[in-house]
Amino acid sequence: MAIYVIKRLLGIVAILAVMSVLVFAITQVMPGNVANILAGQFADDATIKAIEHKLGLDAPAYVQYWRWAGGVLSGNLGNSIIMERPVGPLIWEAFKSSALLAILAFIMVAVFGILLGVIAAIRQNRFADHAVSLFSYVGVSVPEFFWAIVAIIVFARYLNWLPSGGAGNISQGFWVWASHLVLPVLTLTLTLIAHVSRLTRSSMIETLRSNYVRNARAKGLPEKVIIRRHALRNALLPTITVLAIDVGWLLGNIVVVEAVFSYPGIGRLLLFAIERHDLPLIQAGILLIAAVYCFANLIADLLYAYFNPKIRYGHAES
Amino acid sequence: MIGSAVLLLLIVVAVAAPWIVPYRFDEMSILNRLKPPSLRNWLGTDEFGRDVFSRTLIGARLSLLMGFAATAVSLAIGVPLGLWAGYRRGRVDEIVMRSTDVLLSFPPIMLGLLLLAVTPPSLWKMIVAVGIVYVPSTVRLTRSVTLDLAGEEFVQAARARGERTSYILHAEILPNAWPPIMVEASLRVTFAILLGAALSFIGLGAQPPSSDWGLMIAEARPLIDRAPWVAIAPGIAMGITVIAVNLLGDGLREALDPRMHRKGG
Repeated sequence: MAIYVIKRLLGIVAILAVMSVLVFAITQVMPGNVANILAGQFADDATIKAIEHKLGLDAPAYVQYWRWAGGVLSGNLGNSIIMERPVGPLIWEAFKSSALLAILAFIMVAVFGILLGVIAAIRQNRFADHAVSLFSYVGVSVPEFFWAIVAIIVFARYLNWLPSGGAGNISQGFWVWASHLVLPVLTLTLTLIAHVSRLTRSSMIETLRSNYVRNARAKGLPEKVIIRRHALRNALLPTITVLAIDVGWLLGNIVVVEAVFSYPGIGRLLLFAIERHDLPLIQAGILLIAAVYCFANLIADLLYAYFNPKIRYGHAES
Repeated sequence: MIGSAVLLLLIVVAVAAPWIVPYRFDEMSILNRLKPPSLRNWLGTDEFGRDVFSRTLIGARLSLLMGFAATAVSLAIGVPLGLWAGYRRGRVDEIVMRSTDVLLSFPPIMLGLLLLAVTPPSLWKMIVAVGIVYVPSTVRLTRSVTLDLAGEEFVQAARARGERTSYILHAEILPNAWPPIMVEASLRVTFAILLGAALSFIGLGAQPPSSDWGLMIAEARPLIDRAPWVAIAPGIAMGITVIAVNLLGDGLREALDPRMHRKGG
């Protein structure tokens, strides 16, 4: 196990290194030039040249890359060209905001996804089951930005309960701070919950059909105890790995959701950086997101390897 | 069944849209801005007085085109690579698989963002970008199916007859590899529609005055106080389309996946 983990960690480092070259190459062929953006529309060539020289953009590409990589290895992510501030704190602030959103959404998805899945499984082919399937089917079939807009129309405009975007500061009071999080979290939850609830449903149904559950029923245990003590624990094993995979999905969706709600997270920062060709910011943002994504996948694989034999033992196949 | 019926209807509507819509999708009417749904404009009008119903129908074309074309791109690149890697094994396999590792370590939308940031946005570039996003998963699936098939007797027989590699891949392995690839591809179509819409929404896909659904919703966003219908119509249309394609995919999987039959029967 330890060797496997070390191998995977080295793999992640290698992937991130390759990716940094790739991102660098892509930004090299991007049209437009950060010096042009900085200098403004009416700047003459000499001004642009001077800015390029000041930023080191006139050096050959491999020299630029080497400067950047050397900086990163010594813990310096460089300066944002547009905002003229160190990238490290900028990214870290945005990352904390995004992580807050992601963690809240993740908890919601896990709790309600499992709950809905279990209810659907117990009430298989009855009204509650169909209602849950319909809800989750519609949830994944409509893009997250549309849910975001529907949520804004209903809760911010029509009912006027919640702010339609931005982020609150905790110093303005808890409610202001929390109220800015409700709609983005709700939107993220809605688009991701179907994965979890559908998988929980099917594995719960399978577990309820297994021999040991039949055994427990034959012993005369009440259905509640069977579900809580016997079935649920085994049925949830595959769900746990799917939850880890969902972290990756969450990272993708968060970019769009942050854009709709003008939420100051890493996705919006990255969009901002891409629009303005702010290379150090793009590099740091992409690498951070990719790193989180890779770790989430690693954890998913580890959990899967850890739980899989138990799942097999758990099934008393005839 | 329902899925294929709705999808068929959608395709008919999408193909025939230019002839059945009451207005041109880019026909402006300054006196008729942001009108609520009425007999004249069934789903109201947008900020330029353009008919939302017409635009939404025309948008069906773009959306379906995007979904199927992007999937076709991912198949066109991914299937040959997967076949090759799975059959030749060795170094080729290693290089292809490590490349997919790198591409798979981006969240899909990030990869789309990066690919599209390189050039000025357009619908076609977005289709190619979305296609490329789904190449790695196509490669992996094709490779694993090919690995299984390469050990089968009919493939060994072909090799013993001295057939060329290209013949074996094309005539022996590919026909047997199609069913799982098609099932996977049908799921990709909806992912591609949603990803494409998200990219258009961010502004990296279709450009105005196109009536792409993602773009329509993005343009309607500042006006949702006064004219929510402009955003809601394309959103619901997209939901219907994705559900129809998903239902079709589920049906396809049941028809083509032998494991499902065993479970059911």
